[in-house]
Amino acid sequence: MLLSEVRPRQPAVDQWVAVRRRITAVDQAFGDPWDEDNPLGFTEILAADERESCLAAALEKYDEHLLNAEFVPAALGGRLVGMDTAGAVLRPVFRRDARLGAIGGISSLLVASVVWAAGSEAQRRRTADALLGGGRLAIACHQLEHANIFFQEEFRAKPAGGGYVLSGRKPAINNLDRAELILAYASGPDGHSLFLLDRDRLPGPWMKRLGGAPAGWGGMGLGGLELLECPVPASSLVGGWGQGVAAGASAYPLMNATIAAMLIGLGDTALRATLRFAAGRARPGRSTPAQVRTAVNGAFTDLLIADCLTLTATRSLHLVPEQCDVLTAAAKYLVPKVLSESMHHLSTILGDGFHTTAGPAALVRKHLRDVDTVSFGHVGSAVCQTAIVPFLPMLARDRDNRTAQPDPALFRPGTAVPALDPDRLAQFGGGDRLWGYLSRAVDSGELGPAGTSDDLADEFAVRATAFAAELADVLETATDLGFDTGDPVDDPRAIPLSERYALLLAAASCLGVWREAAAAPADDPGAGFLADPAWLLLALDRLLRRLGRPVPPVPAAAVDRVHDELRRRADGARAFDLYAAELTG
Amino acid sequence: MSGTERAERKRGLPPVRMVGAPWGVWDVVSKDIRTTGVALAATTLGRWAEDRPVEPRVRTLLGRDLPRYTAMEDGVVRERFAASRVLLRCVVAAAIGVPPGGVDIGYHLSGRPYARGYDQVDISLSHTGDIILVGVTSRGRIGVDVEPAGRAAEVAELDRHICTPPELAAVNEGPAEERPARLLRIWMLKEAYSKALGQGLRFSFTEFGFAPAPPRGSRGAVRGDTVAAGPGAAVLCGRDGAPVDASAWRFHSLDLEGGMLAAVALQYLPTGSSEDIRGGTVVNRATARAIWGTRAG
Repeated sequence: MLLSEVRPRQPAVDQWVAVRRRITAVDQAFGDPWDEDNPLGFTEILAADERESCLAAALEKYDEHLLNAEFVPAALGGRLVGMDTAGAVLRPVFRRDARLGAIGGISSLLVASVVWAAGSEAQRRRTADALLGGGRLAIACHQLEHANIFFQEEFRAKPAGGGYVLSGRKPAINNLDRAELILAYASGPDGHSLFLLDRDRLPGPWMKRLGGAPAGWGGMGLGGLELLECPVPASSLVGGWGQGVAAGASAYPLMNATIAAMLIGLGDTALRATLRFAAGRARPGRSTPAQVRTAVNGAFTDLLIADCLTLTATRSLHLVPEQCDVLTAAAKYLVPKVLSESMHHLSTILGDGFHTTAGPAALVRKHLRDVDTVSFGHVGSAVCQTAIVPFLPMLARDRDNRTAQPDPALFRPGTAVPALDPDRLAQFGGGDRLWGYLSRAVDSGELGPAGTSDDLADEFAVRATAFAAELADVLETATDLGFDTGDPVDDPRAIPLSERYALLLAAASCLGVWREAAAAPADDPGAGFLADPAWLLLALDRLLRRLGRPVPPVPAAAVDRVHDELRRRADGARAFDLYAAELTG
Repeated sequence: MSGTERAERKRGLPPVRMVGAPWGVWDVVSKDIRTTGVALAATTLGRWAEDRPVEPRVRTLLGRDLPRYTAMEDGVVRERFAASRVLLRCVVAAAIGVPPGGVDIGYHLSGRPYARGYDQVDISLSHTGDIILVGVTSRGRIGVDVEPAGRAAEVAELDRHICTPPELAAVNEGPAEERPARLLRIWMLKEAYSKALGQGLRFSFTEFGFAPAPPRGSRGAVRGDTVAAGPGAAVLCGRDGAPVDASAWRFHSLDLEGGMLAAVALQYLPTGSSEDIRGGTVVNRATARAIWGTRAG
């Protein structure tokens, strides 16, 4: 869309403020994490982590506030207004402890996503009741070639006596003993099928509980299960017989986008802990050392990049569900990588503290480890690449797909979205139109503020040229995929290309968020800092450098503006994401 | 036995394979990473000069590093750049079983190279003078460093900038004739670890130290001891000289041919690592078919 076409929109004060309040309320429920006397604070969390366990009192608090109602649709009695909000509201949990987030939230979210996307009305009801009653859900995944423990081995199913029988071993199921319902993949003569099983009804002579958790997964409630001809009712089948992979895949966007959105809480704490550590070492009257400024500004910018991408991805679930597969996979692929990279950079400030087991520095190390664990590392990446790679040659072939413009509502945090629509989610497509959005902005000189009057106009122009070259090169390679291999999916160049594509979607998301903030009325809480092109410039700069297209450094004045906002948020205990909600500390 | 258990059991390092890029011992590199989770390969500019492919082939093998190569002036720096990037791509390609043209070497903002998109492996590159060393692992992070043994005297002059106070004390108490060699080993281990973390020299070397690894069967490092002048394993210590809890990490000092020394820092993450690291099986066909049906391809 040309800037001239952007009309001022009505302020979305109420919804924005409501989202902020919910984030703040969740944060307050757990108390100030930096307070050493807080039984749910970082001191206790780190001590539990040393024992490879999750803080039981924190888990109780999670249940007491029924936080899983955040992703139960309102029609089923939950508090879900949008997955964008659900992801942001759970950030205070991840800000404290990813283990808590994984046991309390992610494990249940994985199952609920599949049931919302592919389950029957009765299964949706059953799942919602379990979650609203404070119960947990567990998933027994299918087998993958690129597997961690969760994707090793799988159950087998066959029809029997009007229902089915399940056999086989699953060595690792998260939350196995705490779960009320288990969603199990099982292979069969007609492909994989999905079953929603009542945990209480499983025990019998056909079931054997397998050993404990391997190293590194402690406190996750991991367990293994062996079944031999275990009877399950016909009503437990989710989706059609043999349709399990498709049913599961239609839920990937929900899981991918929402988990990516939650992970931002980890990055928030890493940045906050580093700032506290640096403040403790600072000499009065001295300005922040350049090395510290570079690292914290970079980390802040990366959090904004990550949140622009997760905002766009989570909102695409509601706004363009039939086209959200690739965008949501890109978010889940890129966000853990961006967070991990900037957290490693923050570690330079921590020095010896990086190796301690207590204090703010230990938190950075824990969160750095957890961002990899809860995002499933390479195995998680491979799942996302499976969604992105086949789309690239399709995009290259389809000119209309590359020029179409997205719904700008994708880029507006805190504004209402339509309810999830399972039928539309099951249609699969990658035409989110972000490619066309970025490419039109680049071609029409609208990557940043319009006109030459803005002091940063030249900086955006230089970056527009670099993005144009990158778009052309990605398109050329995508067109060429399969030249040597026949099937484009077999072309090894498709894998690195999928990352470059994800980085371009991130750039488009940042551009969109800035544009919508800049076009908002001045009294809109979404305006303010997000309307300042300085952060967009820093974000685009970091994305270009990650794309291997470095340009001259960002002017100090723009960096200062972003740093000032970082200081304001640090001093005022506000979150480092798009919502900037008030936190307890 | 699970993959994790296998990785736990086998934490030995394979030998550094000397190769003449890009026609090296790729089947051996591939086997090294399959059996140990690690592969190490080195070349010298001499070998590279002998085996150097024709210019168009070199340009193809440089991939997206080509513009940097083209912008450089003829000479040893340019040749080293070409040799190191070609070696890196060939080693990654061998490790994940794809042609070198399928590998794209990306760079993190810290300058650390990585195999873009193929995050089942982590890579590290080091070169000095005539030699280039590449490390690749499927277990976690890796950092490598290579230096000529002859650099010891020069590095030893920086003693206070590269040692924690306990390290310096230990080195000074040791045999005087071993002092430069020990300091060089300390320096290299720190280089390797910093590169594994992705920080290069920004990570202050006086903030962490190394001590010799305790002999098999004994527990805990000997406090106040310093790493050996020769090859061997080391453990990570804090500024105060006490070993820190870094059980996922292994550190090795190695001797290479031609008076060259190497250091390797390796992280073994129990989670997330996959037994299958082939590039060709990343995309799960059944899921891709379910999502894209006949539209793809």
